[in-house]
Amino acid sequence: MAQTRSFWKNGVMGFYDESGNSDYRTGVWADCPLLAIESDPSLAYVFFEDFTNFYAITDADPPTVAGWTVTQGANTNGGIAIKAGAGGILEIDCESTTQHEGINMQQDVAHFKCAANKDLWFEARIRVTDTFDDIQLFCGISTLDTTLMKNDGDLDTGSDYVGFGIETGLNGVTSFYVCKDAAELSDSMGATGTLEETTWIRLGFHIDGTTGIHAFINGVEQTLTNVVYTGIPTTDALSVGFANQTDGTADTLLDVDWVRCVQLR
Amino acid sequence: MASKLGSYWKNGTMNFYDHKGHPAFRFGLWANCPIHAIKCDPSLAHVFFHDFFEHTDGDAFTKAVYPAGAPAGTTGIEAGIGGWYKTYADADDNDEAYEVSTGESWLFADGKKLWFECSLKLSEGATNKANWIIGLMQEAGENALLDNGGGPAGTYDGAVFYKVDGTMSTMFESSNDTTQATATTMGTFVSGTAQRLGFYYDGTATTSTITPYIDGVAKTAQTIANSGLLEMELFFGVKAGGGVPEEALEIDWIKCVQLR
Repeated sequence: MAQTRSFWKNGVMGFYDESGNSDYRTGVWADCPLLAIESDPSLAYVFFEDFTNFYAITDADPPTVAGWTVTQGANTNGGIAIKAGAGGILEIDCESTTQHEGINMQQDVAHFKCAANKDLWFEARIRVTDTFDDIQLFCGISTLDTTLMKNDGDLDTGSDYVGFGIETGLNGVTSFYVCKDAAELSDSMGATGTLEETTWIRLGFHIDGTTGIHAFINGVEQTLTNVVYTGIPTTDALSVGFANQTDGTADTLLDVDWVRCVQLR
Repeated sequence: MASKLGSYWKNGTMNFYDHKGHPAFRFGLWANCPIHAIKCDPSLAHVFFHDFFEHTDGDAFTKAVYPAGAPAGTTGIEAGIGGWYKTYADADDNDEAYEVSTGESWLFADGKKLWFECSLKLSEGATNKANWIIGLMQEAGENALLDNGGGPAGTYDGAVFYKVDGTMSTMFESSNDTTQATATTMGTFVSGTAQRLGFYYDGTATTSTITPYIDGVAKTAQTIANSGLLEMELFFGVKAGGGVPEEALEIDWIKCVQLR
């Protein structure tokens, strides 16, 4: 049974469900003015994809789908599909056990650009199977780059990005990254950010204009030591994207339940 | 933090707004739209909103070009932030292109309040030559804008914002068949500058009032008789005024809400 409550954070009021997600009022979206945005289309850009009514996917090498650029690795492995089942789930399958093979999937236009007073909130719900400790992962926003996760299993610092990733050899432990003009900053998310097999995790962040940056895992803010607001990329426009490459041995599957990105206009 | 939420009541409707981002919201076009009740209760209203992060022809809108033949410009989502859709007309004088919604989903009728707003811009290829139009129109299509800067068609049901070649004004017209109310000096059009254009239809029985808004500021209202009106399409279009190069209309977002 749902129980609606209201709260205030940083001058913004929101509603949450005490039974369904009581941590909402301290999570990524707590100070996003969603109620005002719902009323007033001039306030913010809202991108939300729940994969219940997604565009038709053409199964090819690489797969094609409207609005997104999907790129395979050197050996043209990897596919994407909407899974049968409840709720709408996008499956990104690296279809290989050869290290660094897999899929990079990005919105084909970069719609977001970090700037002063243009707060941006991002969150996605993902899970990894077969197996969680063998994935090279990206989940966040970046410049348009079909090889954001490079063929050596590391993020391409030639691009700008903000998001969560797992680079080669990190065995399922996520880190939070910002990269601006080749200067990458990162913090390991440690035990809290360590994936578990076939287990959903919510990865989110709030960029407070150009004066603050906050990372959240399952709605709980994480301590950032190395990542600071001066590292926020402000030159290039960024688009929502995911990467799933195998770190070898296993054919990793990345499921995306939903992704939302909101920025003040 | 760039936001500060506030709430207010207007005409029995409670709403929220961002006191830092857009304090005038509570006096504007959407002030009395019960959007939060509508979000909870789909039986209350029809809601159309497109932010143009992605658009495939034939999805929300279908493009038609008159005379047939594609303009040289690439119609589609523009590179850049926020999602902007750009649609071209060919450059020959009076060539035109319209993007029309799939269904005639809107009808001005007693008691059926309607709110419409969009954000658009046009960077004129040739100074003072472009024609554009946006709004609701019955059977929108070829010659929705008449040739040679003639403005909207002489016979239609609907309400539209538009510009014609030879002027730099944003104009507004409402129409029931051939009975039309036309405002030709409502606002100044500035090439390359985004403008928010909207109107509120109040659904008063028999004769309703349509209040246009430019950048959130109410302009002189018009009245429209509800009798005999037909269903309308959501649409926008651009028409060449004889200059070179091609003219292109850019749309940031469109929202239209009507009580069921």
